[in-house]
Amino acid sequence: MNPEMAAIHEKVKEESVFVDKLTAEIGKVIVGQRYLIERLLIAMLTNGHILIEGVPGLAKTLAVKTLAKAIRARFQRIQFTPDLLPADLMGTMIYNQKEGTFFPKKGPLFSNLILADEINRAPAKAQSALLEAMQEHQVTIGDTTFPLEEPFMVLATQNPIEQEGTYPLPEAQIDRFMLKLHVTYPNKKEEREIMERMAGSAPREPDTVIAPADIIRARDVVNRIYVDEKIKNYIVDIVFATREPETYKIDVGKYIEYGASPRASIYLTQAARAYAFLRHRGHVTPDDVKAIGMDVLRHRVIITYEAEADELTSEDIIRKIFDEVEVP
Amino acid sequence: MKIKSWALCAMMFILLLPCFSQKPEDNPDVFGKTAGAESPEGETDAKESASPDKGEARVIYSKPEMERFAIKGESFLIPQEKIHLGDEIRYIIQLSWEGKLGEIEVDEPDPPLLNNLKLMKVIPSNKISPETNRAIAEFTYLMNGLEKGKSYVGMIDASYRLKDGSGQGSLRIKEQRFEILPRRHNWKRIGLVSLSVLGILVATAAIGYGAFYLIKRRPAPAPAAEADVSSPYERIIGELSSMKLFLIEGEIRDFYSKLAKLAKGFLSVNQGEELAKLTTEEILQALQEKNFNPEQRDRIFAILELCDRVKFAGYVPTHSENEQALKELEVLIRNHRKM
Repeated sequence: MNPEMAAIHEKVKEESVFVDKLTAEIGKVIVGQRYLIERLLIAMLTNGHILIEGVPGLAKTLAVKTLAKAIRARFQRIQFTPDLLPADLMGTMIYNQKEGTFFPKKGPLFSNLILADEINRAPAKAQSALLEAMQEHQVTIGDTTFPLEEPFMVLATQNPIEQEGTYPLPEAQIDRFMLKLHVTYPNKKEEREIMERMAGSAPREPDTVIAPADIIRARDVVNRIYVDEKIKNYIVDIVFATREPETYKIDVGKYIEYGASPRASIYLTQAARAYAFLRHRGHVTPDDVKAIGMDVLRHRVIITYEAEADELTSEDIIRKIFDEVEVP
Repeated sequence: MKIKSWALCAMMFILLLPCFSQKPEDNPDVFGKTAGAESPEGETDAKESASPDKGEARVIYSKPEMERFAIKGESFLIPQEKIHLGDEIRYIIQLSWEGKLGEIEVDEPDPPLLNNLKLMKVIPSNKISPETNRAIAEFTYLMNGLEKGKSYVGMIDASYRLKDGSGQGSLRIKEQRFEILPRRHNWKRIGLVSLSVLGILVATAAIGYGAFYLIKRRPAPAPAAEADVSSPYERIIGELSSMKLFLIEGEIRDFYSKLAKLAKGFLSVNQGEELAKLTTEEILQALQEKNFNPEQRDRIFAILELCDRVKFAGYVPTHSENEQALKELEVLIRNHRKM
């Protein structure tokens, strides 16, 4: 192995030691949900944001809260409601009577981990305030722009059951989320463990494993993880197959209204790198791309009415694409 | 052989001849001629339309004023002679009077008694005769003959009345008898079909003769080439043996790409399903699910993992690793071939 590559591999092994400790610490509080925890780490390591769809009571809040404690980060949960205003998120200018000046009162966005609960319950005005902060990592109050503290990650949740009185996120806004996760119910064994662990006694508090600065450092290592040309081509093939499935002889063209945007290629590469990091590898394999591909693409492939009529979801289409596009 | 074909053709022609008869629409030349009808003496007969007899055998006037109309009844048969089976027969009865069209109303008569005929349709109409300037109420009976031989159209009673109801009457059209002749032959059609059949027979004979000629002239079959009896395993082993070229030329990554493809190809053949599009981890999972021999599974996995490291991690394997990987896969495939 050439020295540069060897150095990356060594660095990844060295820096990713915390991953197992962190996972174990979160596992003390959360039963199961390995999929969710892994994706939370991926988003945190790649400066991304997550949209979570799942029924209530699946420990989404607890997972984020636990992660925040384990990395000694500040956590804020914001319940989105129809009367939520941008100022409720960002903060506002308050008049200081004594000094006769205005000073900024920072809102809950000034935290590391934000849980935007039921984001689709707030109108577009509040949604866009949050999404702007997500994109720019800064908030402007009055005339002053304040950078947000790193790591800054937003987890927005959507309840897939209740649609009445909601403001669905536009496709362009959804595209800003790096991953969209479908959190499912725990299995029988996990359910039993949850019952035994949570019923009666208060949940355990996790120990702090790393500091936010370690996350920032790990991000730098993640960005250096080697992605071979073959893998890059594979990612481009996957994304292009969502736009031009006929080119890849995949018979799903009539089911796709819009394919994935270029953000998909960027995020897929970054997420695959982070996935490799979690497995202490200094290079990306097609397995990494496949493992994270669904979460990156499911909200970026817009299906047609024909697909809905045939009871197909974007996940079915993406699965077909991953099955058909040749692995390098 | 040719003589036989011609004989067959002639026989077909003779056999098909009675089957071609002319359809009614193909006989416009007989339309309008005098029918070969018979009628008892003293009764109204169907005659040529130019000088028809009166049909007032039983004209009744309820009031003397009606005599001024000079009502009469006539019948015509079209065609008027040589009616063949299959011809459309039109039997027309006309009641005419001196006056205007609307002055007298004629009831549609009951259908006549028919023998060897089938009534298809009755068409009523009214008109003014351009020659005599008489008003005419006309009923056309469209009929078909049922079989060749004697036919009969029974008498028809027609009743009429003045429009204002002040007078009425009736008259009887006498029966018609005529002969239906056998169907006509359509010589033109017979000729065309016969020619077509003849052409088909000649073509068939030519093809048959050609095939016979080719079979007769075909050289004796050469001894069958040695069939490709190599199994998929042997083909993969064959490809493995040619892979050293990559190593000689220093194309290490191509060598491992090919090695991974062959390993996946072997597993696809071995498992009877396409595994080439799966990743290394997916293959491992699939083999676990299929209870593939754990020892061999681990060896395959090690080979594929090495391939991945070379392909995707920039790993530069040693010469012995190259040789070892190649040998491992070959041994694995050979063992499976024996099994």
